[in-house]
Order: sequence, then C-alpha cells, then structure tokens
Amino acid sequence: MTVREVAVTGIGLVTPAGIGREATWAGLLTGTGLGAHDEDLAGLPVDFSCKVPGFDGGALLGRRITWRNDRFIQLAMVAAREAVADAALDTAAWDGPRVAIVIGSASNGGDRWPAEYRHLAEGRVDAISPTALLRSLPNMVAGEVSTDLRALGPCLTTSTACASGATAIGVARDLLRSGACDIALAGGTDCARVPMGSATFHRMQALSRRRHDPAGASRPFDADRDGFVLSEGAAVLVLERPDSARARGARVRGLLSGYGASSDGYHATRPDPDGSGARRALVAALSDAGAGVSDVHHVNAHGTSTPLNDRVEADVLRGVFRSAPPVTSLKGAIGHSLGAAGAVDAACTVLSLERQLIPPTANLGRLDDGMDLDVVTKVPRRHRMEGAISNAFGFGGQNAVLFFRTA
Amino acid sequence: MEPVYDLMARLLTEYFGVPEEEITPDATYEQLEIDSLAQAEMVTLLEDHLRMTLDQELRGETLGEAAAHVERLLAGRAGPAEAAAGHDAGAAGPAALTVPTP
Repeated sequence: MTVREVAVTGIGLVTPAGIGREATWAGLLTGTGLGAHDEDLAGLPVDFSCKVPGFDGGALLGRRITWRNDRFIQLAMVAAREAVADAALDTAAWDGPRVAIVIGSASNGGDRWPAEYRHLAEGRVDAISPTALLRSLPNMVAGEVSTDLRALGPCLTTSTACASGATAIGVARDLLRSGACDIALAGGTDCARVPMGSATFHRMQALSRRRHDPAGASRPFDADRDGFVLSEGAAVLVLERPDSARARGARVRGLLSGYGASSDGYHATRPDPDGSGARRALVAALSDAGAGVSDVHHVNAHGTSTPLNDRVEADVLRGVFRSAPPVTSLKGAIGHSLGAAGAVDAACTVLSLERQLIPPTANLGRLDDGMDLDVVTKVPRRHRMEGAISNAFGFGGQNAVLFFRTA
Repeated sequence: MEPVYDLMARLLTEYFGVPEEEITPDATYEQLEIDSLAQAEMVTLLEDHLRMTLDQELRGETLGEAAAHVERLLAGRAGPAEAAAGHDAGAAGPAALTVPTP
C-alpha cells in the first residue's frame, strides 16, 4: 500500500524565542516582538535583528565540533539532536543507512568571510583559514548532522530561498514515500543576521528600517509594516512512516499529509501579484493530501512583514478559502530566518495542532486595509483544529506549502 | 613571551576543544584527534598570534616536537621561514592571545 502521509515523531527548535522546542513555544505564546539592536550589525543602516539568546555552540556541542563549523551549522546540529531525542530514537542502535537527512539553507555561513577577504585583499593567502570554505558550505549542515548522528542514508540539501526548510520537509516525505529510508531528519537553518546580509537586503529595500523600534519592526499584515527583520535559527523534524512509528511505540505529534511546490516564474524578489504561484502550491498540497479547503482549520502564514508578500498572501488566502481560518505569522515575534523559516513554521504548525493552540502574531496593531483575515493577535488562541497549512514563499518565486493533520 | 608549547596547549583546549588532561609534550596529533585540517588551522592560528610565517603543516610527530620547531623558527635559527611581510616589524610582539570563538 502506498504511504500517503508520514508521522512527525520528533521536533527540535532553536529560535530567537529560545533554545529548544518548549522554550521557543513558550516564547512565541507571549506575542512579543524580539527584534533588538545587534552588535554584529553596528554602524549599518539596519543595525537590529532577532538573535537566538545566549547560543553558545561550544558549550552545547563541544569545541571539537564547533571550531570548524559556522553558526548556521551549529544551530542545525543542536536542533537535530533535540529532534532525535524527542523522538526517543537511539542513534547508536538505529539502522544508519536507513536514516535520511534533508536540511535546507537559503544562504550559507559567512562568519569568517569578512576577515578572510581582508587577508585575500592583502595578498596573504597563507593567512586564510583552511576551513574558510568548508565551514560555510550549505551542504555541510546535512554532512555534519550525518556525522554527528550516524545517519547514513540519503543526505541532501535544499535551497529554495525562504522556502528551503519547507522544501526539505517535503523532499524528505518523498524519500519516505519512495522507500529510500525509514526515518528522515528534515528541516532548515540559517544565520541571516550578518553584516553583508543586512547590507544587501537593505539595498534591496526588503528590510524594515524602524531603528527607533526594533522590537516592533516585524509587523506581519500590519498597515504600517515596512519590511522584514533578519533573524537566525533552525528547526528539524523527525519523520517516519506511521506504521513503523507506532510499531516502535513512538509518540506521534502530528501527520504530514500534503506537500505542494510551485514556481512563480515571475521575478527575482517580487511575488507574482496575482498570487498564482502561491495558490498553485497551496492547492497542490491539499490535493496531495486528498483534502479540501474545509479541512484547513489554521494557516501558519509566510507573513514576512514586507508590503508585497503580505498583500499577495492575504489575497491568496481570501481567494482559496471562502472564509480564511485563523492565521498567524511567527515572524512578528522572531523575524525572518530565511532558510530556517519554513521549517520553524512547520514545526510550530505541528505543535499548534497537537496543543490546539495558535500563537499570536506579534506587533499587529491594525490589519492592513482590505486584507479581511482572521489573524490571531496579542494572546494565543485556543482553537479546535484537525488540519493546518504552513506556507513558505521564497525569492526566485519558489513556493512550498505543507499540510499537516492531527495524529 | 609565552612559550610556544603553552600557546599551542591553550589553543588546543580553548579553540579545538581538546581536554586539558590529554595534552602532554609526548602526545601525537593522532592521539589528540588533530587531523590534517586541524593542523592547518593550528598553523594559521599560530601565524596570527606569533606574527610570522610557518610551514604549511606542523613538524614532528608530537606536540612537543612541533612547539620546539616553532621556537627555533622564532629564534631565527632554522627553516625557511622569516618574519612575514606585511606585518609591522616594529610591533612589540604578538598581542595578548585571544582565541576566536568557534
């Protein structure tokens, strides 16, 4: 029998709301914007971000690992370890070649590049670290997680900009469906709050410029939104076929029932204003799950806080659903972690279904005119739901939508 | 100035995460789990701290041998290395050791 859906048996999260799944969840429920001045961005036009508080990779993972890995790899490794522990899996005992890894990243590391480029400009090639490239390659996230956890099956990296993490989860589901693995660790990671990231996104006019109010700068669907806030983080989900998960007595937190992907084919950074690409991904996810619009009881929106994304996304939701179910965007609280965002959103969508609770969208003071959405604000909302979608729309017009159900 | 061996021991602990109790002059790179990549990184760090150019890899089989070789280079009595071009010859030795956080 074809496996139609897969079980989510473990979740690991590292976000500006906290290190760990429960810390993140508790932080998100407060509805607080977490943007703040960022010393790493001092002197730049946009000198604030959402940062993971007190993250010390050396303390969490050991310097034997962290000396050669940039922060975005470290974030993912911590999330992956938590996800595996949450799934009560023993990496020493599992069948390594049957464990796949798919982790998305929109950019790469870059912790050392400024210093290394200075060496290059000075003609001091011998001063460049031999790890400069290795520590920052996007594929090294999956590679390091594989080495750390002895996961020896297909080991892949997805890069679909801000949809990377969601794409990874969809691809991992396909690997499980195909029989290529029995367990898949899937997610995303990025550390976007780096000087060149701030500078280039600022030059693209994509970032909020509310230097006077960093905590209030990320304002999804708000009438006064003016761009997104750079962030960082990682999320990893453990996915298994439901029958094998139940056979080993695993707790199933939720079911991934549908995945839809599409491309706008329209513009490098702007979504197609008619929303056709996003709509096709959403409809494909529902179709994949054999579900209808009435099966969607909650939407975890991409909701970046940029004028265009939120407008188009709201139009798409209003067009697909006669009356859109309660919507939230986590980016109001934790900003936009690019390649991690789709996975963070997916993880929290599963938690929402499991706990029948929707975190509020931080900083939404006045819904923009004509949006006509039921956005959860200020406090968490207790809500009966069996199905929910998680949207992720990336630069390049790359879209991924995931449909989850309660276990 | 801090002896090279002490500097290397400190880098091994603070940067590469090698437990202090494993570090002895007779310890080999293999025993310390310092592979070729880590050795190359160690050379880069030493060059940065000592403001000199070294060979591309650590000499000898043990930490003690490697440190002794660098000490000889420092004293200007061995090897091909000379003070690195581009560094201020008037600088009063290396700055206090600050290990970048991995």
